[in-house]
Amino acid sequence: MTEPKPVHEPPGNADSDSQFKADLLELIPFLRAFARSLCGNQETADDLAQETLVKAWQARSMFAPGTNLKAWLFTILRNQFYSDRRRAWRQTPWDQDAAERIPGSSSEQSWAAELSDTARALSRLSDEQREALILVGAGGFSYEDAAAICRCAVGTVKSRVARARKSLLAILEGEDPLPQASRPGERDAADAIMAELDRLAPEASRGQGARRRPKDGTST
Amino acid sequence: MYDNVAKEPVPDDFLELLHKIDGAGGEGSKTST
Repeated sequence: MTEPKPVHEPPGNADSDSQFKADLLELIPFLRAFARSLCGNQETADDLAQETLVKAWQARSMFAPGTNLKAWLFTILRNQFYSDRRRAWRQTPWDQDAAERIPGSSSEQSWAAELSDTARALSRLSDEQREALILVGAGGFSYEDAAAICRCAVGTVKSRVARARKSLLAILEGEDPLPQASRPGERDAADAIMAELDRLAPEASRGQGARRRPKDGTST
Repeated sequence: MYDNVAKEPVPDDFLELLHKIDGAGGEGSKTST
């Protein structure tokens, strides 16, 4: 866990700082959820969320009041996640023996250990597809906000969400079986995500047919 | 999963972090490095 430490930052207006802190507190659950969706590991995710809080506080003078703080925080978190991962790749020497002992990626292994079918299915998606699906389907962001967070075009986010949706359905419907036994009742989260996507893009959903029948209608 | 995590209570170490952040800068004070 990240060691809480005093933050060195420029002094701000006490009232606005207090409000900013209250807003941060309110958004912590969503930061933790997004971090978990990226990392898959609770401890790493909470470290990431805490780093995000510290960075956001340090940079609070750059945040424009009245704009989307949640999207701003998610952008910081996402940037930190990929920055940490690039650094880890650079700093980790290749160990062939260790690699041969690992049947899959470490992230996939940690994901698959304790999580629900939905989480395991999400872990099978690419990073780009997973984050797009989480942001739009679960995080409540518009395609435009998600595109800003991911620093890509709106069309790219739509495409990633569509592909993620199709892949997730295929996995959950058994076309691409999960590595561990399915537990009935844990489809709720996936269904909620799909329902949100249906709400956002009903035309696309109709074009793809019934969402619970991917073999019949999810081809694009 | 996202929704489940989002519904979890905020862990104490997050609250402690925010408290320390506030102590360092909420009243305009500075902490030297």
